[in-house]
Amino acid sequence: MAESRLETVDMFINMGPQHPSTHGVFRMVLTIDGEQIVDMKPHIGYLHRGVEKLAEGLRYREVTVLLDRTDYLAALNNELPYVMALEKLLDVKVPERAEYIRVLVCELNRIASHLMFYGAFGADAGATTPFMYAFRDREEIQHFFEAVTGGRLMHNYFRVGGVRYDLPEDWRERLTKLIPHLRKGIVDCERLLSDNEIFLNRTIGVGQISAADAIDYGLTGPNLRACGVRLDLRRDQPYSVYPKLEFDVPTRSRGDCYDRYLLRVEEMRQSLRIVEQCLEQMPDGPSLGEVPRVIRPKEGEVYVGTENPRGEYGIYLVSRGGDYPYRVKVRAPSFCNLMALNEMMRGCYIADCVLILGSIDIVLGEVDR
Amino acid sequence: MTEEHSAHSVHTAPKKEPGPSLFPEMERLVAEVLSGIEVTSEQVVDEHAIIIDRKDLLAVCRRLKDNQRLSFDLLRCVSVVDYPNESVFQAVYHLYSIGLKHRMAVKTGIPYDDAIVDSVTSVWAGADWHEREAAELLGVEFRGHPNLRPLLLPDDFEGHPLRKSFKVPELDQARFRRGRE
Amino acid sequence: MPEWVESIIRVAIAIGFVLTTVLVLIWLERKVIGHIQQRLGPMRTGFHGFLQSPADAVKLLVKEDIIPAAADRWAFQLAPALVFVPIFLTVVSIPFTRTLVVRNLDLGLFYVFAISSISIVGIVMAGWASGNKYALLGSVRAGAQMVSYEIPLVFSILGVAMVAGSLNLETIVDAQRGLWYIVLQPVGMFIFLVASLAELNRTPFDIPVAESEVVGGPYVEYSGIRWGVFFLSEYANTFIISALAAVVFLAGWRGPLLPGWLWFLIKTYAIILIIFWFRATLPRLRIDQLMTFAWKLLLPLAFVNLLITGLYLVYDWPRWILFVASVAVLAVASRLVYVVGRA
Repeated sequence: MAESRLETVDMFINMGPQHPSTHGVFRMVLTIDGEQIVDMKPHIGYLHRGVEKLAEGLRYREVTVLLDRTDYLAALNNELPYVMALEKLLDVKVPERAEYIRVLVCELNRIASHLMFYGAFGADAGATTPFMYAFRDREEIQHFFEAVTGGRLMHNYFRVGGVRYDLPEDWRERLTKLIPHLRKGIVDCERLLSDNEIFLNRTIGVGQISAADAIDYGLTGPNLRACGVRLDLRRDQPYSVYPKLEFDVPTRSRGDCYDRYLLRVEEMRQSLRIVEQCLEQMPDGPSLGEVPRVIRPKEGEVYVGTENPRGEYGIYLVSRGGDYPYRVKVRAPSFCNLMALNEMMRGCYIADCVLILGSIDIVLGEVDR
Repeated sequence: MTEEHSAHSVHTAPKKEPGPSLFPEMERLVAEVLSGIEVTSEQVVDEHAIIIDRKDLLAVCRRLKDNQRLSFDLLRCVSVVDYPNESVFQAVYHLYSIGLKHRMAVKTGIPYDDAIVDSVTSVWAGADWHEREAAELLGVEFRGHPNLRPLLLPDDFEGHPLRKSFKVPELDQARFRRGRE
Repeated sequence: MPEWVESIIRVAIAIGFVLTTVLVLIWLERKVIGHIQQRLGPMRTGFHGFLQSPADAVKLLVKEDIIPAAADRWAFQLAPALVFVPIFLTVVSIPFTRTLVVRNLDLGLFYVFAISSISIVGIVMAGWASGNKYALLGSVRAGAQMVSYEIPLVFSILGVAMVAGSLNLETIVDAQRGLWYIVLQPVGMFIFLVASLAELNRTPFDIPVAESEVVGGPYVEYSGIRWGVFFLSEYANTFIISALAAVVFLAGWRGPLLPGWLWFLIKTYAIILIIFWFRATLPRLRIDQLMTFAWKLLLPLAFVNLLITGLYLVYDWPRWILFVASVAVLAVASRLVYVVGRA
């Protein structure tokens, strides 16, 4: 009977770069045994534009344009560490109003980014409606951004010493309308997915990673906090006006897809709290401080990491004098978070791998830079 | 790394801000932990930075991570900077301790003619892609890295784009148009 | 008029009806889901986008027919027909009213299931012949899923056949005079609806075609009218399954005041709307959870239903006992879903 024995062979399947749920141009070469994944090899770089090299050819003020295009879902959050780094090198003081404006738009951007995650994660799980719900609310934030920065996605709004434009005259009315809208939107979103039995079955215990492994791989942001590690640079390495604002740093303990999902929903609430406080506390004054006309920092270097929606977005800025930065190294959170993908995907199903990738919430523009 | 090269002792990029560290307490603690290893402090805004010889890199990283009072468990970033005038690369490791909430930077020089440095993937698994990226973009080899394949660039790409000697025509034209250089 | 002419006319009308229904269903689904998702759906072509489906159909017809180089040519071309024909054949025996039926069969119920399960072959064939790994993966999923769910589906309807004492759809409708079978066979109806969702590859069981995993599954390489035929079959099948549920559990054309065909359509569309509603609300199951659900929950549940129905018939219980017992079974099952699902 030995001759008639059937043998199974592992199949290779190439997922991406053109695949609806690789969130851009990520490519995974999967070795599958039936529906189960035996091995996964990630391939990145399809969106590599050489941001770090290009930055060396642009003047200091112009670099923010490039950083907008790394994590394009949270462009304002990327501009922040860069301008902060530059301010440290130049020793420029930022007016308090500018700091508040920065925090305000950053937190709104965080909500917008998490909403995007929520929608995409729902789509990965096979539900179509979450995406529409999320985009409805995200659109309102975009409208606010349009009024404030003039852009919807690529804002190029932060300047050394402040922000490009002061808030529009009617910003208070806009924001007081926006906040309850978002609050209700988050509740809607939660009702749709958070307690859905199918969704729970699909996400609980899937893509688990232990806290020790997560730290080892350099995970930051919601992905790390979902493992129970309370690391939030806004609180632990306070910058801007965050120390004056009240907010919680939520954590979860299991470190699976569901925890990562739920944590982000909770973070949206916290961000909303911060936005509310900014609305209350916004001081008067200039929105741009005293800045030299030509930006020419003295020799030196600085590393600034801030809490981006996806984790720690760091800028290592080296100056050797002159008008151009000598080296701009971008520590992109998605890039680091993606390294842990293999660890999370051990022995999962094809359907899970899509969810796990979605739950890490990567932006390929930032992974590839 | 051959004997004659390590005899050069510390290969460093130019020190930007000579002088004592801005973080004396951290400096004292690090010096205590790293006793027996040659360490120079560098004055950097925001954090304590040390310069070490590349042959000590792994030992330094292990001690910084394992020591209870430092416990740098999170590797935030690995950056490699090219200094063509000094013919040296400088690898910079930014560390953070989640429990103790402090930070520091470890720097080491890598000479052009022997561009090899130990990989720290055995200390922090998260160094993996950072080092692959640096190996590809700057042409530094990381010894002991499990998988040093190209990461970002196309397979047939030649050269190391983040080296200063790698010219991007468009960028140079842009500078030229502005009439600045 | 000779009988064969009449038959041909009846079949032609049935084809025409199915095709128009599909167009309406596609439009309806886009509108319904659109409104659930707080948008309008198609609005530009005709009144509230009513002409959108015909326009799409024309577009599909004139599109280039692409056959991938890696495809198995004959199987690739044959597969859409193999999917569509059996589904259409089932229309033949579904009674819209007592007279509005192409051909009433004594084994109508049996015929519908026997014929419609053939379309699995077409789907597996499409996936295999496409020469694409995603298509293959999707078609293997489809095969496993549809074969598994065929069993609870048939068993769920068996209870109805026992109570009515017939497989003739007309007789079944007549037997529901006064009391619809949704009251006597709620368990059967539940299993039937769930299993038919899986049979239709619709959310939450759209695993074989899962856009985010296997990018359309067996149909990934199809374009133009061949793809259109698959699409058509899917919606035709949705209609037929809903019509069947309306006939078997909701007494088909029976109802006060309104004409019979209208009652039939109202009941059918009510079920269709529920299916659309599911699609807009639920995420997708994973393949192993799907299998667990079929074999560990639906099938035993169908057996329990048969057992209760059998006891009811043998001991000649009053009807309310069957109703109460069925509701109790459903209640227990609805708790078991959590236990089985989480296991």
